[in-house]
Amino acid sequence: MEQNQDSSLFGLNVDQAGRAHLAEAARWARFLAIVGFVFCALIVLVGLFFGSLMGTLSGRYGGNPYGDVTATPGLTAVMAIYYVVVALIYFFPCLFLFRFATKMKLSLASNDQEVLNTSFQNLKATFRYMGIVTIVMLVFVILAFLVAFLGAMTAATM
Amino acid sequence: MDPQSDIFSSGLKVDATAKEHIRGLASWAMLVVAATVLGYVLNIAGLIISGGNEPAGPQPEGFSGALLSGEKNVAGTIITVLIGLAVNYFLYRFASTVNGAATAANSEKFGSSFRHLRIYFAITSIFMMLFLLIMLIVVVALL
Repeated sequence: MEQNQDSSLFGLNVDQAGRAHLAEAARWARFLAIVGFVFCALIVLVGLFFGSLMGTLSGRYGGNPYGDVTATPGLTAVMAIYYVVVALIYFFPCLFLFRFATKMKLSLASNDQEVLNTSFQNLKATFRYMGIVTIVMLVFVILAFLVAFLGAMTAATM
Repeated sequence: MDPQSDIFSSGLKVDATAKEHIRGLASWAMLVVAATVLGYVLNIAGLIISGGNEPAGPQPEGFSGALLSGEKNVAGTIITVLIGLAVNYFLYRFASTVNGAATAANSEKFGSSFRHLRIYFAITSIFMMLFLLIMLIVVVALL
């Protein structure tokens, strides 16, 4: 059976076209990671200034469905913690993606096999993290559906 | 390509360790796609069940808008889902081809799979930038 011209006995050689695609993927991954870091920072800022933002809203629009948030430091603190946690959750896949991108760029420049493997490892970590978070969110959505369904059934039978 | 040049090639290889990582990332990427699509299905199901409207929340005086009243924009949801499906299609193509390409030692298919990943990252980046810009505009408008 004729072997692929571009493969060696010991594995798949990354040819010039493959290197170009890997380099481009790494470039966009790096950009996406940096945008993600900026997004995380913005989320933290929104969380930290949540109280004053709500105060501005209530002052500007003459009423707030959540009441006067500025008079409830407890709620402001809770919302700040919530936003910081959300930012933390979003930070890690961006970090793994950034590592994938930098290590891929380094491995392509230096032909370092070890660094290439580490780069793939970071990409795997990115998708693993995203997969777990997505599944957890799905579970919450399904639970919310069930609760809403049970609530509707209970209301209908009353 | 001249097979002889392979002997003198000092390029990178997808060795056993790399294949192991690629196998793992392809599985997880496929899981992300499946979970995301399921999320979209649930989203649409929720929209259908609620009839396109959620119960209206309290209406603050002097402020009007679908955002606070809780009405769901059916068209907006469908557009979001369609865009999401289009983006995740490229991740699906990457996940479905990269493992096979590494196992079969097919460099063309391997390169092509990373082209799909590149497109996935590119489209996601563009939408994130747009979302960031909108967020910044909203925050600046509020201040």
